[in-house]
Order: sequence, then C-alpha cells, then structure tokens
Amino acid sequence: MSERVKVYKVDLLTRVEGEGRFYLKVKDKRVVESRLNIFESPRYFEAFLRGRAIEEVTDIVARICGICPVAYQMSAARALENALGVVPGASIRALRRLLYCGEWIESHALHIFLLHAPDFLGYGSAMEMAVDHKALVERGLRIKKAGNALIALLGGRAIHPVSVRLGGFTAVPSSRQLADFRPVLQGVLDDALEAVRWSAGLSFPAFDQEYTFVCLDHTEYPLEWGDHIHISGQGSVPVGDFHTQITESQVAHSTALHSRLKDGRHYLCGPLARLNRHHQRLHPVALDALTKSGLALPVRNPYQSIVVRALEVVHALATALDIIDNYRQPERPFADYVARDATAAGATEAPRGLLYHRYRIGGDGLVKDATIIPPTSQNQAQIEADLVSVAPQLLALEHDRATHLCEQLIRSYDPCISCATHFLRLDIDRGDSAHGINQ
Amino acid sequence: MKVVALGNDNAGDDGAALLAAKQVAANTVAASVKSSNPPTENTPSKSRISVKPEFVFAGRVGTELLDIFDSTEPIILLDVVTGSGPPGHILRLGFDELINYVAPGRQVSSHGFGPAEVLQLGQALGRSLPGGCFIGIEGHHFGPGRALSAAVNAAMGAFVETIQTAINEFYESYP
Repeated sequence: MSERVKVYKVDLLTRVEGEGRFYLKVKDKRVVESRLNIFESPRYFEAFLRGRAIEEVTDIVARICGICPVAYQMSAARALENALGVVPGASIRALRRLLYCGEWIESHALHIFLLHAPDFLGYGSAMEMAVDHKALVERGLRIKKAGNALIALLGGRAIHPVSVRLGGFTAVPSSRQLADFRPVLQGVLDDALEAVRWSAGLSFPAFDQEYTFVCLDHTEYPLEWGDHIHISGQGSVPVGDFHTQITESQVAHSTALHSRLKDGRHYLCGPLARLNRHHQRLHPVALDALTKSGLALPVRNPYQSIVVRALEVVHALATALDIIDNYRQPERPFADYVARDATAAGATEAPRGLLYHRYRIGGDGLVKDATIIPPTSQNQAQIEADLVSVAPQLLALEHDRATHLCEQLIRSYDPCISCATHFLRLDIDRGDSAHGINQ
Repeated sequence: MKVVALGNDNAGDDGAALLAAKQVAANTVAASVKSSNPPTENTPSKSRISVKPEFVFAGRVGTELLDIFDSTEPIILLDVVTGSGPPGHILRLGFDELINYVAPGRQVSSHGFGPAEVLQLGQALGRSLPGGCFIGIEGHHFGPGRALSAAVNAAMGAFVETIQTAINEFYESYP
C-alpha cells in the first residue's frame, strides 16, 4: 500500500441519531476526498404532504423524528399560519414556547449525558460510562425525564405529541395544572446548572474554525418565534426569503440534500450559532451560568457545543418556569382561520438548529407543495469541511485515536440523520491494511 | 401489571408487537365484560387496579423505557426481534436473560436504546430488574407500510396467545 495515499475508514458511526458513513482519503498528506455518506432511503415526507389537508400537517411532520417532533410541528404551524394570516395570541405563543422548552430539555439532555459525554470521559457507550459515573448519568436522566414530562403534559404524550394544531392547540392546560407541574422543572434546574459547570471543565481538542453562522433573528433567544434569519457576515433576511439565499443540491453519496449559501459557502446552524448571536438574550439565570463558566465568546470550537447545550438547557428550564408563573389560560385554545391560496414559510430553532418549512396551499384547504429543510441537511457540508480541517491532526495519530476524534467531532453537531433522511456510517480509511482499513 | 409494546407500526413487521398488544387489549376488554366480576369492598384498591393490565403502546421509546421499567408491577414487554430463529419465531425471556440478549459493546444509535441496552443502563445505575418477562417475535420485512410478512402474519395468533398466557400467569402469581 502506497504511503502517499491513506484512506481512513470505520464502518459505523455510533451515538448519533440514525446511521451513516464518513470517508476520508488523504494523498501526499492532503485531503483529496471527504464524504459524509447518508445512504438510507429517502423518506418522502414532502411528497406525502402534497394533497393532504392542512390540518393534518402538524401530525404528519411530527413523525419525521422521535427526538424533535415538536420542532417539526412548530415550524409547520408557523409556515401554515403565515400562509393563512393567523397570528397566535400571547398565551398560545407562550404555551408553544413552553412545549418547545420541553423538547430542548429532553433532546439536549440525551445528547449531553448519553451520547456526547462518553467521548470526553473515555467510554464507548453510556452504559459503560454509567458504571463509573452513576451520578452524572442519573443527573442526565432526571433532566431528560422532566423535559419529556413537560412535552407529555402539553402535547398529550412525550413521543410524537398530538396537541399542536393550526391556530393554537387542541386543548390547553389550566393554570393549576401548570402550577402543579412547576416543581418538576424547578427540581432539575440545579442539575442543569451543575451540567454547565461540569461540561465547562472538560478538556476540548483545539479546533477553532471560521464559520458562517445561521440562526433565527429579530426575536428573543430564538426558539419558536422569529421572522428573520441571520447569516453572519451577511445580515438578516426575512424568513420568507431564506430559500433565495441558499441552494439545495443532491450529491451522489447522500440521500439528504446538501444546503449551501448562494455563493457556495457552507454554513453552520445550531447551538453555537444561536449563542454567538443571541447570548445577551439568554435568561438571566443562564447568562449568569455562562459568565461563571468562563466560556469565551464567540464559540468557534464545535467540541465545546456540549457546554452550549448545557447552557441552553438552563435557559429552557428557567424560561419554562417564567412562562408557568405568568401563564393565563386562553379563552379559546385555537384561533379560527379560512383556507386560501397562499405560499409562505416559517422557521423555528430545533435543538440541532434552524428548521425551515415552506408550503403552498390552496383555497380548498389542501397542501399543493411542501419544502422542509432540517438542520442536519444544512450542517452536512459544514461537517464534511470540518473533517477535512481535522485531517492534519489525524495523520499524526494512531488509527483508533484518529477515528475517535472524527466520531467525537461529528457527534458535536448532534446530527439527526433520521431527520436529514437516515443513515450515517463513518469510514476513515488511511490506506494502511495493517490497521484493518478498507473494510 | 403493564403490557408494554415497542416498535413502529409503519415499518412492516416492526409493528407486530403493537398489533398484538392491541389484539390482546381488545380480548381483555371483552373478557372483563364477559366475566363481570366486580371487586368487593374487602379487595384493596391497589390490587383492583394492578390486576388489570395497563397497555402502553410505547413505540420507539428509547431511554424513556427506563422510567417505564421503574415499577413495582410486573411488566410484559413486547417487541420484534431479529436473529432468534425463522420469521415468526416467538421468544420468551426473563429480563435477567434479555439483558444479555445483545452483546455488550458499542451503542449504535440513540434510536438504538432498545430494551436490552436500557436494562444494561439500569443495571449499571444499580437499579433492580423489573418483574415480568419479555416476549418477542422474529421479524422479516421492515420496509415501509403496515403489512406484515406472511410468516409473521401466520404467527400472530400464537404471539397473542403467548402474551395472554403470560398475563394470566402473572395475574395468578401477583399478590
């Protein structure tokens, strides 16, 4: 095997949502090929939606992901309500934000404690890690359970909730119900603050990158609301114009579309983009935790995303408690609307980043066309670029260590291949059969 | 007693456990209406509730299974398995057996927090195994759609019967 060509390969990337593969080929110490292969069958949700009643959309898109169904419901509702000219009242908006907080809490807790923490502590899985770090895992499970309980309370059930509908909710809780639930969230706030302290003390590989960050803008710390999207170095554009700023393209090695800016740049959405743009809008409790964590802004090291996610858990918990304290049950759980010919977009911030929906609907109340751009699709090109950037570090490492560094980097993005489409497998092939490569 | 069904009812045979649980639930309702044996005043309320299976259609539940397992009641856990035998093969295991049903090792996906992995996680955290048992059926076709493969469809009657037998066993042994 020529020493000039090294191909890194690992068959299965673990602890991400879904499955896929990465392939990295190095020639004369220069990366000549970097592919994030996503080859699970396309899921055709956009096609499923055509011809369906607009009332069905929030329930259908919730099925795209079991980890972030609320994000899909919220983006769909925002887009369709924009098309219908419906603006939810303050109480409905607050409830939606509360429901979304539940999803951030459970999704981030899953990733921080069960998927990403083993990388930093040197374990192959959460099960192995739990033997030596019981308190850490129990803390994560407590936080995750609280998030799931919040989703179940507002959404009817924790997985694929069913209460979100156009104009509002099918039913809303009473003030008493929320007040009774408050201790569940208050009870894990200290756990979340401890998670910030713990994660900020981890050791991070040096890997600061120059990113173009993309996130919702002209809003509070972005979550369920925002009418503009900010592209760092370029400015903000109305959500309805976002599709004119990017191109989606099919690449041979992936069943998920790649998103790039019109000028060809890849970009990053997600926790780092949100924090760097909106850190001053964090809940005061989370802002205080950020200050005490010593995390330097802007955060440009993706490995540090574990700290940012922990901060966002604190933000979500503190925000949820405020919403409960100020909640007034709306007189009606949803606003009425009349179907009309229209095209509109909506976007919200899923745990993994910007989730963009665009629908063309008819006066007959049916969906004519649907476009869904999930965060992992948007980050896919950036992940490939980062793996190119990390390649020089790999060449000096043993194969297992190099492989682990790549996996850890990919896991930093918390990619949801299930949303992007499904399958992720990491191949790091260094062209050296002595390391069991080219398997 | 809880009957907990896992799977995806839009992925061919992966929905077999959910389908079987629905059938058993329907049978249970019919049987309870038929027997019509109301609890007496001397029957403790907890017993009256516990002997009626609670059906949990958990789907692809992941780590939340740990919370479902956190119960003093027996749990009959239903899922679709691969590698146990020919399609339609029915497998009954104690939870102490299920925990070793997959080799400990790399966790493939967060969606891959299956029953065995969750039991392993619970064990690592020092939690007790739940009472009850696991009943699985070997799947064959996991493509889109609700249709079961012919082999699994043919075995659904036996699958339902095995579940019902387990319910009756735990019903009789439950104090």
